[in-house]
Amino acid sequence: MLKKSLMFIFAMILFLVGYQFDVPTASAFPPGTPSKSAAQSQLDTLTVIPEDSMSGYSREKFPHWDYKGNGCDTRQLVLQRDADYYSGDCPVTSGKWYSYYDGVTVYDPSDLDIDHVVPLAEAWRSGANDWSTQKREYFANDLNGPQLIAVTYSTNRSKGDQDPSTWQPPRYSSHCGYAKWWINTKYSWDLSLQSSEKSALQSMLNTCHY
Amino acid sequence: MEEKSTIFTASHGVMTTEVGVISGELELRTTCDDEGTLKLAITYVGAVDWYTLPGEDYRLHNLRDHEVVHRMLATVLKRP
Repeated sequence: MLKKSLMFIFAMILFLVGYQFDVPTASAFPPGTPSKSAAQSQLDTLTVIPEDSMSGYSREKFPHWDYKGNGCDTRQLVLQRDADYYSGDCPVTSGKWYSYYDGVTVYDPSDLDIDHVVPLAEAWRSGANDWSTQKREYFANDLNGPQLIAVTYSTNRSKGDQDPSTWQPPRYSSHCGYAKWWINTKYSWDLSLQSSEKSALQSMLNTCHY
Repeated sequence: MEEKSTIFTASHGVMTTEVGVISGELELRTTCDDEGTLKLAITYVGAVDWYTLPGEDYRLHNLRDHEVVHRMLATVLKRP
């Protein structure tokens, strides 16, 4: 009897430990995510001006997804980077992803979009309209900074071209990371921002603990 | 073929089939052919690409309704 209840307790512990490991991890943090204080000083240096017009804009002026060798393009590399695990080497055929914006766990890569954290249209009206096509291509395929992240198709579409004054991730606890990525991308690429966007970013950054 | 166009502001954006939500100064263009088949397209003012609004197979039974359908759509989408 004692043996039986010990077995039961042991099984419970195993179950709980297994469950612990199944809790989504924040493994999908892209490179170059700044600390709270670094993001704050970057935000403070950004130029605040009204947005430029969308005159002449086309998504084709931001060529993406670039071929990166070994049969992989930028999109596939982000899918691999952000996966907890995956199978298939370009194209990735299945795996496990945690969509940071909405907290949804995804197993099928066709349910995911690679989000440009600062959308291409948003970049255009905050300075990228003056860039060469090649510079826009680097921006649209930037794997060095926190500009690309795999999220559910549905959140990416509802975000579209909006900035943080009109769209924020539905999962409140992702606001800190989202603000850091947005600020760092605008800072690294020397893009401007508008005042409504700046105050939204400040509120989101205030939710960060570090 | 009749074409109508309106420019308006949608600060919180309009859903498109191709690229998700687009926002800002937008131009709505509706076209209606002689059979009453209606097509809805939207772009950023001055931009190159046109996008489609979700939904299809809209058919007017009277071509004169094009005007009111277009105005209604532009008014609903407008969110300054």
